[in-house]
Amino acid sequence: MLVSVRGLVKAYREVKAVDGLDLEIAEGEIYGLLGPNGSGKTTTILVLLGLTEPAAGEVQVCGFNPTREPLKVKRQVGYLPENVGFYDDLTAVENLRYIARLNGIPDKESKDRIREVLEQVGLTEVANRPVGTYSRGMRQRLGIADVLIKRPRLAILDEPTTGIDPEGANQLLDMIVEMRREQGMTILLSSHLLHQVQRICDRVGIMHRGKLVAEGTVDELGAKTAGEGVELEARVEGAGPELATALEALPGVQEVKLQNGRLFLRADSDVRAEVARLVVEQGARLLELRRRGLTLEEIYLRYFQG
Amino acid sequence: MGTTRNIAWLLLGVASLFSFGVLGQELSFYTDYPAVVVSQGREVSLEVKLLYTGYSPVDVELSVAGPEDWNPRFETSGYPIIRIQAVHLLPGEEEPKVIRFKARPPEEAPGGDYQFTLTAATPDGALRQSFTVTVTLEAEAQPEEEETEEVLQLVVDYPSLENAAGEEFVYTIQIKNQTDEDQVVELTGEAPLGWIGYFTPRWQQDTRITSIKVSAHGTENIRFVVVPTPGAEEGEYSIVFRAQAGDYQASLELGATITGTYELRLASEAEITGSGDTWNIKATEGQAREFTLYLGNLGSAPIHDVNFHVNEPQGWTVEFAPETVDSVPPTGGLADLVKVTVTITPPNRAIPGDYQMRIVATGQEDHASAELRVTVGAAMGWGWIGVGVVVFVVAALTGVFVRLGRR
Amino acid sequence: MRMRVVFWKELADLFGSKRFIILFFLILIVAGAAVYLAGQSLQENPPLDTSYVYLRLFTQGAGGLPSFLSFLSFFGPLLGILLGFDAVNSEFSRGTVSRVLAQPIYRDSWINGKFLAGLATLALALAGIILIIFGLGLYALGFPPDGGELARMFTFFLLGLVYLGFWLALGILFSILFRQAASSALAGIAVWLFFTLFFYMAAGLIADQLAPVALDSPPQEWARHEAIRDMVLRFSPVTLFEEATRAVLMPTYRGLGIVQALLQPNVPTNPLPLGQSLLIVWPQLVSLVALTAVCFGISYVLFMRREVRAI
Repeated sequence: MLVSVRGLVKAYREVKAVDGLDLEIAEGEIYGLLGPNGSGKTTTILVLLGLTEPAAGEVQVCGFNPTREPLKVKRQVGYLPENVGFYDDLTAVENLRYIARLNGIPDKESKDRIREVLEQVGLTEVANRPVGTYSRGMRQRLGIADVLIKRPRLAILDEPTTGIDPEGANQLLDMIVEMRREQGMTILLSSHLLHQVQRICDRVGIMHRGKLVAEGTVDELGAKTAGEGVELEARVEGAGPELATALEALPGVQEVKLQNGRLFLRADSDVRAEVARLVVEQGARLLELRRRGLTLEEIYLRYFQG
Repeated sequence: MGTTRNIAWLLLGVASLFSFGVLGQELSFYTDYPAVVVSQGREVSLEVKLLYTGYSPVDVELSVAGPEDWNPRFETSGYPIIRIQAVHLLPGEEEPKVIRFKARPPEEAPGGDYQFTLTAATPDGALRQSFTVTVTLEAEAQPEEEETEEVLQLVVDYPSLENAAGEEFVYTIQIKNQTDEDQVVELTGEAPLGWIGYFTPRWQQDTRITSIKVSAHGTENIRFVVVPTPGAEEGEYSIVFRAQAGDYQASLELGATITGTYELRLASEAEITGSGDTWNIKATEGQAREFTLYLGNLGSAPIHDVNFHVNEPQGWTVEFAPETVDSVPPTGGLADLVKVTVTITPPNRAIPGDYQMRIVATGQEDHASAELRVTVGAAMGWGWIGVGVVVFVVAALTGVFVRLGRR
Repeated sequence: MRMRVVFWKELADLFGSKRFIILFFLILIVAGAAVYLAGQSLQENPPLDTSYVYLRLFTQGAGGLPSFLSFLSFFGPLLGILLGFDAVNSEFSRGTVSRVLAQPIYRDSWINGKFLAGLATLALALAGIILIIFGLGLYALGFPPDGGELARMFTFFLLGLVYLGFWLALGILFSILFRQAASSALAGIAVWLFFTLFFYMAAGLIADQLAPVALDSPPQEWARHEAIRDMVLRFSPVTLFEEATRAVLMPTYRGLGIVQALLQPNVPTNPLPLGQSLLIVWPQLVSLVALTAVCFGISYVLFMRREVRAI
């Protein structure tokens, strides 16, 4: 395991930001840490980097304890903070060179690396402009470059898509996937935006009030939440109470609701084929039939609405 | 005297006898000293008194009977001294009228007693008084000088004066009149050829006089001013002062010593030659600077052993070559000037600016001084290094700014 | 050491910053003018005793301008505060702090690097100004300083550096204490004004309370009044610096106030060797260094314990 956290507790004054967190991330994974603001994601990340001391719990990152040996951890971990900041009066190249120097990369070597990573994130053209003139999306991409420059084993990206337009966010996410593919980097991604995590993450952990409340692949999570039954939604032209009654009679169907010409069904298993046949037999026109409750957002909402 | 006069005398004698008995004596004619002793060559001078107690003014004629070669006569007692033959007397006078009887024994007169009968009488003979004076002539003669000295005495407190050439000699002389009469004293003097002399009263120095009146037994002070010729050489000169009042005369030997004059002068080269250094010179710190000055003597005699002193600021060295000038002759031409080279060295750490120093030349007879202003300029060598340091620092800082500021 | 990287980066930032350039040239021009006038007045009235005359360039005011020393003691703090007041809080507000600290460097390297960069900037500026004064002096006076003068000028440089270092440390401390750079700057300026202007008044008031004096008081009471005032004043780094520099730049200074000097008229006035001069103001020197160290020490501890997250 590249990252392993057991029983992590961290409190700011009276408030417990992290309360007994267990987390494991394997080498080469893209792990999404999900949760609303204030659920303890950033605190967890800071502990992983050794920037904050935990009150209790065991933490291992790249085989080292970040509290005791922060430098060894930091050498192998790249970090893109939420709302990443740069020295605005310096150019992208200068900002990156500073980071390279702090990592002990000689200027000769860093020169090529900087060009390389700037190309990767698509900032070659503005490389010698002061960062103060950059847009939010360019800064975020520069942040990725900032992580890449040190060629980390583990990249921790805290809310990387915050505040960027959807197109930019998509580009960024593609870039992250590329990072893993090209360099075999492990990536820990925190976000409160589900669809992004869902799109690129191998595994997802959902944090709530300092605890990991659910963990697994997106599908596993879907299955977990789906354990209580399957929800179907059907759009039927000319649907009436008769159809609802008929559907209710199908084996495995627990409940049927009719709302605005839409039918919502709850069943023990996936009974879409039976439902379709029945609707057609009843002489109605089936316009759409889909299974609900499988997206992460639905899972997510399920946790946090409760 | 005619017959009628004799008759008159007789009548007068009767009347006077009468009046003497009835009215008392209206006229007294007498002297306090009816017998006097006089030495040969000296004059008899007796106060004779006339006291009149009558009621109307009278004229009294005076006559004397005695040896005619003694030249007996009456004179006034006060000034002016004139010979008189009659006296006008006013009534009610309480004091007697004083006149003087004088007689001088002829040189050949033998010693012994001589009788003079002095008579005062009104022309009408109504009043007549006479008395006899006995003069005893002492035969042995006194030396004349002593006599005169006693009569006209000259006193000078400083008979010998010493002065530099060109200066005047002023003697203050006291003239005492030992006679019983006021005297007008003629003043004369003898001085070397070309010298000028004159007299003034003591307290009126603007008034030049040739004689002075000295009252009887009185004293007058006069100034005797003697001006030597401008080129008079140094040395001792004698001057004679003479005073003469009638027959009396006296003289004084006075001494005048002329010493040389000394006037030391300092001049810069510019003052002498019209070019070269004035009293303002420029110098550089730590570097010797030579300055030429000349010693002159506007006096008449050489000045000896001239040394130099200077109140140089701390750390300065000022040297004179020669250190001592043995003699500075009176300056007649440029050749007489003595050249002195002054070597001035400001200290290494002299701050640029103006420095004032006073050079004093002191000889035995005179001294002179002059202010020398030395303007010290910064040594340009160090100045350029200073500029270099500033330029270097500005360049270095700019370099750092450029290098660090732009990366 | 990664501290070198931080150091050079900060040094470049400080030198590149417009505020530093402006203030540096302001001080340079004013100081240059002060020294030029001091040199002029030395030329107009050349002192008979030219020993330590170079030092007078620093201490002699002329033409209505105060001396360079006064300028340094008054405006130097501003330079120090200016370099330090946003050292840390600006990194927090720009969001660079977590990014930089996520790099493999120790936290103290970062704060030390910042402090040292500030100190080096001040040293370079001060050395530059002193060298320029030295050059101007060389030009105006035309002779080089002697060993004693050089030693004292160098000591003065070190002293000035410690003094400016104190204000830099104070500025950095405020940059940690205050989130907003503006608050930090205001606090720094407040402290500066307090020590440079109001502290004299305050010390006078305290002395008036403890040892009241009237115009006709005996000199002993005045001396006591002055002693109390001086004691209070020594709590101010400005006073410490001024006393220490007086001993360094005026070799005849023997640590006596005006009244004390009047009471002891037989104190010799010959110049002291540098060691003796330093001995006189040893407590002031130690206090000044200690103040700087304490100030930076507090900053250090505060920064080390500061949560990166607590923006």
